[in-house]
Amino acid sequence: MLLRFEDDSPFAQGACPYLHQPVTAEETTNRILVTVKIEGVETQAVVDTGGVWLVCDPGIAEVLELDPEDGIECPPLQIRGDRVPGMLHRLRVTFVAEEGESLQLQGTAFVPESDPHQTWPLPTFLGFHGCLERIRFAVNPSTQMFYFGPANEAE
Amino acid sequence: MNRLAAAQVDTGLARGHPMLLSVAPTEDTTRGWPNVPLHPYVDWPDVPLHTYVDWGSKTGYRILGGTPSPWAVLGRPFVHLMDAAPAAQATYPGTDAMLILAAESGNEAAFVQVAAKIDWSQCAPIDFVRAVGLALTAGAHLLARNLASEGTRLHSDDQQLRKMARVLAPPQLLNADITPTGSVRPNQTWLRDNGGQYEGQWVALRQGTLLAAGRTAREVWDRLQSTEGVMLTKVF
Repeated sequence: MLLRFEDDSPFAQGACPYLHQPVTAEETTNRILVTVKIEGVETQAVVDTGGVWLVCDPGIAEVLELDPEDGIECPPLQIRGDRVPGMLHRLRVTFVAEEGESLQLQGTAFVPESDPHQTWPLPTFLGFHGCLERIRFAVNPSTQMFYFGPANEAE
Repeated sequence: MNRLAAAQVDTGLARGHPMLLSVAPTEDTTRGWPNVPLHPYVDWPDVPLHTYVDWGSKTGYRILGGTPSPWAVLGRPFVHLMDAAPAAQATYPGTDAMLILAAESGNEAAFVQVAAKIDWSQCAPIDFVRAVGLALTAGAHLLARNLASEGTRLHSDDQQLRKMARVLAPPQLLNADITPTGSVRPNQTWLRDNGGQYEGQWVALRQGTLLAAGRTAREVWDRLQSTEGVMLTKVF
């Protein structure tokens, strides 16, 4: 059942199950892994309310064949203690609903510089600033459901 | 504000007080680093500046101190040392240098404070482009967005600024009525049950069925006959 305000207006328009698990071999802390589409390519991403932008796994970015001309240079971004070089792009992200309706937005995405000799060791992150900041979202740990909906412009 | 010539200076401020350095652009800097004969030592509060910053073609200064060393070795004869506390009422010449310093040290608060003193309505497009880059370096992401937006408002014909403003703009809702999909749960079930065998690899799944696995996303994607309804993910 989707969430509603007291006046019966919807808080969320869609919901999807999420995985609750570590995302690197070195860590034991569980993360919230939701299913999203990035420019139409469905994948998993970690909800990271303390982060900025959508940090797009370079593997996904390679599949998307992003044009560097569409992006802007970005100083190295601090990700988990490392200064990571990359570029900023404008990408579409769809929160994929199992219940209700999916939601698509366009936000700022940081694409780490791809190292052909090394696999990006981290997942894709959904940061708050530049990505999650314009949607409502909630988590039900009991059912492992992630709820989402568009924030009103006035909010 | 204290002017440093070639001597140790008593800032008159408590140790640990936030401070910023700025080059005085109107001073004679011909004796600038690296040939400056005098290296004044300045008691440096706990500001983690430890980088060499270029300013101008041949000028610049090297800060060797910062955390954990309390000392800064200044390679230029004339700099300004300024109180950067939020309550300070001083005016700040040399804001460009201060922006660079705040950005290079990752001092978002100082960067925002310095930027607030600049009359952006008088700035050229290149100033905005540079300031956006510095704001991103400083971690002042919201300010970077606002500067790009303001720069575009003032200089709407500048392509670089327009691109910056577009990329850094707030998230925009595109579509809120896309039909749901029934594939999320089957794919997650597959990952939960079988992921251990593919840890670190990329997999392509459709409705809970493995289509391909491999070392890179590209490799897996290229192996698919159809990408319709496919989830492409690294296995964690």
